Amino acid sequence: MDPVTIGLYGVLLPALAAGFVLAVGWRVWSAEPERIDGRWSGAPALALAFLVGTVGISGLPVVPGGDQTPTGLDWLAWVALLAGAVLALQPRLGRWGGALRGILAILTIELVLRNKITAAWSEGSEGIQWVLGLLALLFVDWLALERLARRPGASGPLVLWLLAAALGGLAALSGSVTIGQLSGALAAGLGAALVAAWWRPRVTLAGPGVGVAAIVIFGLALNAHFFSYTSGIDVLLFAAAPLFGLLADLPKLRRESGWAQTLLTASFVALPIAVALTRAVLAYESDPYADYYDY
Amino acid sequence: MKFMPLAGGLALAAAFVTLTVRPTEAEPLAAQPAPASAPADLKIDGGHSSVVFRIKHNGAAYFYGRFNEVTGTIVYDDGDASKCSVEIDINAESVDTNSSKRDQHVLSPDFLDAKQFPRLAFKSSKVTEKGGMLVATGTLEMHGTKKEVTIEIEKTGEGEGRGGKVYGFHTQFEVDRTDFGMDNMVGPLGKEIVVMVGLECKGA
Repeated sequence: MDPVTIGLYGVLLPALAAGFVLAVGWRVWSAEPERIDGRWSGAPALALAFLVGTVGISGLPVVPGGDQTPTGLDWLAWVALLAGAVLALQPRLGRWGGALRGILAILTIELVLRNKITAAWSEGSEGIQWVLGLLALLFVDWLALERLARRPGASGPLVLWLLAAALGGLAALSGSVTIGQLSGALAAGLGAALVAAWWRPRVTLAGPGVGVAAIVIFGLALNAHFFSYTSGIDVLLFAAAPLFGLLADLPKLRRESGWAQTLLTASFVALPIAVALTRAVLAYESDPYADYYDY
Repeated sequence: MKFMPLAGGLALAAAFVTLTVRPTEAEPLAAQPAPASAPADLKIDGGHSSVVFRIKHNGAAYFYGRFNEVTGTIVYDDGDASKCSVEIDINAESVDTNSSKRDQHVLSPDFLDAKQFPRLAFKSSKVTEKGGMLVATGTLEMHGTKKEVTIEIEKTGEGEGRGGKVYGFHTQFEVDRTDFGMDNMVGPLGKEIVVMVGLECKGA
């Protein structure tokens, strides 16, 4: 795929798709702010960005039940579609919203790792232990990202954008260009959300938007580690990044200015990400054939 | 002149030895069952078999790689092709492109996705004979996709190995990797992959 095509399908179209849905959401909300909760649009915006990127980069995801076995990335596209649709309803679901998030988290891990679970983890308790551990990790990250996104300002979209963009680099450096490009497509959608949050601070990803972003980023990281060659340590450093962002909430570090607080949060989040990327760059450069295969 | 009878005697003796040894050498062949009498159940000898593939790079040169682990079985009947069957199993993770980092990329979700689809396999459903070649129709499984393909298999020879009789087969066929869901980097890397398989088989 040439750079122009990548730029179109991996950056421009996902950003436009997400920006369009967020703009529609904001317009609808601003027309009837009393009746409509404007947060709904974050979920379909990010899901659409990811799906546009997936179709442009990898083609239509494989439909389950046919001659082709869906890959973890195919399943992630279907999960993103489902999450985009149902999480948009989350603001209306009240206490049932928590159950919905739980079901989506289980589905994400079960479906993305389906080929691993059916082949390597089909016997014994190893699979159950992995799924429960990953479920706990996803929940912790999801809650941390939700907390960051509820702050006023652009902290939420900025942190999510950092995670998605850096995961793209990490995945590409450690084995799979495709996973890197798909992370880039999500990052483009999050970039649009970031611009929207600057433009209209009431545009937020809190709630539905964070849900889709957490699911897709986590699903991409699962693909990168279990089906490609991204190391477990690097994935754990990424998983720890949202928790580092919460350090900016400590009383002695809290800043009055929204901008200062946003930058402080982003800096904390960037720390473990930078360590993981540095490790990946060093590992990549250690390949003695790296200069010879420009394929 | 005493020399002549001696030389003649040696020549006669040599001729006698030759004539008496020849039938002894021929005995095992005569004792073997006729090849068409029963199908032979054969096992692929991975140590003496090769799976090589080629793909065009940058529209210019053919690049060759190989898979180092191949197993499987062949049922071979010299007289009746319909009694033949072929099963070939290749460990995707044994791919070898002369660069460990490139192997890793070929194995990643960008191409073979070997951690999700660890084997490439062919299993025949019907075998016929055409022009001295076996024509095997069956299912080729690659990258989690199954497609029906027809391949021509040439019997390249028979010989004696340490464990008994061995048979040699060769096939070469072309697949469009995008038919198997491997759409990545079409352009710099060709869509068509030519697969060359040389198999040495021995009694199962």
